[in-house]
Amino acid sequence: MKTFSNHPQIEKLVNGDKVTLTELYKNLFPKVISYIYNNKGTRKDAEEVFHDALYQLVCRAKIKGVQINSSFHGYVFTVCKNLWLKQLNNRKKEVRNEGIFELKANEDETVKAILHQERWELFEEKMLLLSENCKALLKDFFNKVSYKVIVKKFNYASENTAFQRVFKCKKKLADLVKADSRYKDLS
Amino acid sequence: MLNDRDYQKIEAYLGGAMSSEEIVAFEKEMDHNEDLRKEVQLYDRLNHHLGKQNLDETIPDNTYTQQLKTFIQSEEGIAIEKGLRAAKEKYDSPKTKTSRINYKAVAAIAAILIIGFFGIYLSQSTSSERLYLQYYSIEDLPSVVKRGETKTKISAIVSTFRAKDYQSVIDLFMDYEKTAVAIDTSMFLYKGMAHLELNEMNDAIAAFEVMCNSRLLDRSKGLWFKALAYLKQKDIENARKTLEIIAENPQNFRHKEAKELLGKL
Repeated sequence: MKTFSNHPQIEKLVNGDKVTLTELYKNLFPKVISYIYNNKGTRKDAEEVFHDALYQLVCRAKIKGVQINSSFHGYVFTVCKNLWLKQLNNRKKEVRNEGIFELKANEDETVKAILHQERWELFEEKMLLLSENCKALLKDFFNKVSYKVIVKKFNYASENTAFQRVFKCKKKLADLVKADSRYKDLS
Repeated sequence: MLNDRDYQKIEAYLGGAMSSEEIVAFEKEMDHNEDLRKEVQLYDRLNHHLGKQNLDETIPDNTYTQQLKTFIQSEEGIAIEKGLRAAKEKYDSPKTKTSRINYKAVAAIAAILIIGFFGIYLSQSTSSERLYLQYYSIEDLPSVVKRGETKTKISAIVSTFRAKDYQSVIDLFMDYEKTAVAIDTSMFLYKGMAHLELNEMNDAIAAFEVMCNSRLLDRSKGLWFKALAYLKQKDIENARKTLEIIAENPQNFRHKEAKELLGKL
């Protein structure tokens, strides 16, 4: 028995509503093509990504429901974008492992893509709960801004203080993620 | 329960700051401490997320992933996947494919037209430039014999022109124009040719027009140089019009050549 609810548009997608599908292909798909074209992809890549994104959403909707806090188009676009970035990253690895790369089963890829998307959503959601200082600090740290610059920018006493602050902010983020029941399904 | 020391080790392990001995010891510790292993896994995921990098992981074995796999392999899952693919094909098919073919056809036609246009343009421009070089002769410019100071100024224009210092030709001509009691209109041909060499087409044509409108017996030289200027500038239409004027009167300078050129254009 179904104990969850879906965003109305997702529910229509699950039911194979042709109007919803046509609308998505007509209005959103061109944006996805444009994004993928501008990021080293082809129309064929865009077609696959768009299809995979819709299928991923249906799978998730069937198992535990999909709730969306932003616009439906914006949400589907983000799923497409994450899927494409993941594929681009995998392509780099495929080139590095040329010859020993083996194609994984499709269902495994779909499950992996779903987990990747759900973790991404969870981490982004928890990032918003951090203090502005922590967000800015983590952003700089992961953009490889040097400790020397961070010390000056954030007015810390020393590089060791900066290191401790980064560590604490990351721990805060990790604690927020662990405290969310959704993380259990993703780990 | 993990302590600060454990977190320092996690940071060192993921940050690549451990020696090979420390790595072996830490991984052994993880094998016996699930909390530690899970924490390392979470920090690794967070590091990759914050660094906008992809982490290729094995699928965790839990209820959710099992449910997902079961659904994907189920008849319903396969049917939904096929349905979505069919929708994609449908969107991609009749209308869109036709329109894409049309786009291709339009693009192909456009390409042919562009190639054709530029082909004609290039061949015309190449040939018109070639014709200009073939028919232009510096010897057609007047050799002027004057006396006194005027002679000096005109000689300076001619010799400077032959030395291909075209800007100086124009400067010298301006000086000559200001100071000469009576202008030798044929000198406008030097001025015009100097402008033409400097790609100042309007000034060139204006100078040749002065010659054309003069009362000199050989004023039709102005027409000939005007036609050559249009050829050099790949203005076939105006070149042809000017040559047709020359061809009307056998008394005109280079009448025969003008007719030849018309045949070649």
